[in-house]
Amino acid sequence: MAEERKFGWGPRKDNVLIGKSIQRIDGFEKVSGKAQYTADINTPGTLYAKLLTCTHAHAKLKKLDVEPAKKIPGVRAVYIFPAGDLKAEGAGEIFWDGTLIAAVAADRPEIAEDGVKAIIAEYEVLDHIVDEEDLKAAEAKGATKAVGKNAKGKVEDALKTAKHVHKGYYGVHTISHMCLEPHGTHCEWKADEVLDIHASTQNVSGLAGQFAGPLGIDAAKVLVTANFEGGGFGSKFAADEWGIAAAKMAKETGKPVKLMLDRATELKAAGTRPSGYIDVTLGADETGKIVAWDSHHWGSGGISGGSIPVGGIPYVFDFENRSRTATQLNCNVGPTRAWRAPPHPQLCILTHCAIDDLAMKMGKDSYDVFLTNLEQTAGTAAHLPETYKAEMEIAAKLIGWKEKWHPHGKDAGKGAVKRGLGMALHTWGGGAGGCACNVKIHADGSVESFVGSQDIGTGTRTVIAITLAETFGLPLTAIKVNLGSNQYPASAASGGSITVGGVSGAHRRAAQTALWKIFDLVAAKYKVDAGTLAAKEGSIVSGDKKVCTWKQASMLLGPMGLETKGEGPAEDGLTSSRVGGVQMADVSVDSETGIVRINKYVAVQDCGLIIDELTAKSQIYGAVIMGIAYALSEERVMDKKTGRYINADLQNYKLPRIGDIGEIVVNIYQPDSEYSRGVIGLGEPPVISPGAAISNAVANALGVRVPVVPLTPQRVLAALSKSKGGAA
Amino acid sequence: MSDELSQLPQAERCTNLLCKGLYLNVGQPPGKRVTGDGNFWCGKTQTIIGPDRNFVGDGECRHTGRSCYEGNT
Repeated sequence: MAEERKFGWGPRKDNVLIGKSIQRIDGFEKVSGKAQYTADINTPGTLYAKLLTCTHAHAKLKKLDVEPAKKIPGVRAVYIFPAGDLKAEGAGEIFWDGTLIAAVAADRPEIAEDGVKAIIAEYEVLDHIVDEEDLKAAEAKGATKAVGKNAKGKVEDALKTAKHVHKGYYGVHTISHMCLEPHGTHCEWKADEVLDIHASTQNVSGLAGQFAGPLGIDAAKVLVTANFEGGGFGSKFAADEWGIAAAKMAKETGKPVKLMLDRATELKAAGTRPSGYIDVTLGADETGKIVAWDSHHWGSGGISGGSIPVGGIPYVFDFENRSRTATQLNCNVGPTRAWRAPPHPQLCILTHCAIDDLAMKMGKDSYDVFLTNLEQTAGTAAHLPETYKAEMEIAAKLIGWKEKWHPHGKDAGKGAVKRGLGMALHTWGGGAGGCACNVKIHADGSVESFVGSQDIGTGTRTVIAITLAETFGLPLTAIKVNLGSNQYPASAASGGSITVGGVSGAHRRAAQTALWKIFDLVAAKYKVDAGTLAAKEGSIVSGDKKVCTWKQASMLLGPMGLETKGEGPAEDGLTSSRVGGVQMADVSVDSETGIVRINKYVAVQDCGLIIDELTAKSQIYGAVIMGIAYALSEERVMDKKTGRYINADLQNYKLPRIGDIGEIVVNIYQPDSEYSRGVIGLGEPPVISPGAAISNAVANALGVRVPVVPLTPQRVLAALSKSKGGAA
Repeated sequence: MSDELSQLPQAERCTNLLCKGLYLNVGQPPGKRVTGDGNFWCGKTQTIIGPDRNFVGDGECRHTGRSCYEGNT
């Protein structure tokens, strides 16, 4: 029989758990406070560390005196970061507000804060540049670098002969990751020089080596645990210098040290999404088909690069005649890190707002222009144009596009509040990540899994439990999932939407391998054909006939039970990659106050085979909310004069409240053709379109483009003023 | 996984240069990647600035002349 056995998912109609809406298995722990995040770890004797950071955008550290801090009772250690080490090679130059200078570990947090205040740091302030939008000013200061240029076709000729030509400027400001659980670690040295770390990380299996190198110990002596995580969004793959600081101070004091970033440092130093701005000219023929694209975009990922690359513009689409160039600005701002779907949200805004304005110029329905150009989707899977078309139809129906759409700026309402519709579409890979797992079936029938992956808030535990329970025909309560430790089989970091494919594929393989062994034992014992056996409702059945219970079958494994290994990814159909999605926004804009309200937001998304519809939908709801945030209010505000990040706190860094969200309608596009593709990641794609879709809806409402996202009241009013001949 | 990491085409770069791609592409079939390199950081300093106080990156950390450069030989 073995040669006929192939890994695969069962027929969709037979699934008991897969594809259903199932609550998270760790939901109670999370809502009750029982779940322990890194910030909750307080082993006996733990010291608390606080940070001294530089408050200048560009400066030379001239003096650092930490002795006053050391004299404070209760202060146990002071650590000087490389930027504060004046004895080091090339020491002293500071490049951004928020640079870490020193850390103080003390018996209590407030003593550590006193220690930080006691440190004397003197700087020579240097010239800085923090305005990422002002390309000319950056060029004048020599703070730019060409990062790419390529072209195809005959752009100039195509623009000359195009029926409609639009020239526009668009942009999206930098945002910070704003992880509600800040970056940080709890470090404790145990016997035999073993370092026991609790970390807020997306990279459980990849951290040991990162700590071991700087500490001069073997990676085998580093234990990493991350049972729960309160958000990473792409910013938590490194050990980080504050993690090394915690470990070193723990070593020095012989006590555990916990160092969690304060909110300001979290926003300034622990990751940002780079800005992007574009000058673009595009042309279309009489049908709305885009025949030419000519653009130059720029932005900044901080002082050392990381801006939006030249590829990817135009986003989703590519045109026969296309030219694009990109410039990077090196600004005195905190360094960028990957932010959920990098850099697709920016690419989507820079491209789809231009296409929408082209539609406005043509007097055409934006929906029709996007539809006309679906045949020009490029660099994406062949199935996507048809998928986009189907998703556009669903989204249009859900938001009432036909009934509500009006030409740009032609809302029939007479008041100051104007209503409009906008749309955008996106794509993402989401292939399966590398994963190894062990699945253990105990002789009493209980099932455990061990995997060095992590649940970064996405529902990984639940997905694994569903996969195993479905395979073994057991209830979810029969499955115990062990993850979040580097002592389990190694798994790739969680990023790029690769975790669900990685863990579900590997666990299905391990589970099917185990099940086939059990079937062979049952077949021999009960004299039935193993090829007829199935695991259902806690039993092993042959057709309609119950052969034995799951427990009886498990006892056949002997007292040691059975442990099987699963690995992935593999080309066996369990997982796949490449998804698409369409989103539409219905907004109201108060033309007197500039306030934008979301009336309704529709997100239609394909993602192959869905393990848990509830967690899949939660991903989309969360992504849309995150998208509404960066579309309407969220941005890093840099003071041009001082070079400081002036809203690095939860009060002034504007995130949406419940009343700002509006109605969100999520529709997962999942015909059987999607189910048969296997599992594909979903974490990133739904966060891509909101900026463009909402901006386009505002343009439809007002008949005026607010060029830069987020669409704050100030920017809306400035755009309206400019359209009437006033100052922008 | 560590064996697979060592097989990634990183010989030209300083061995201390880390990036997101190293932790996401691990375990993929030969020639396949699920993501690009992403952002870089130095494994020794755990920041974007290397031990020599210069910035790190794909281009910056191929220079054997940097005082902190470490090759895989």
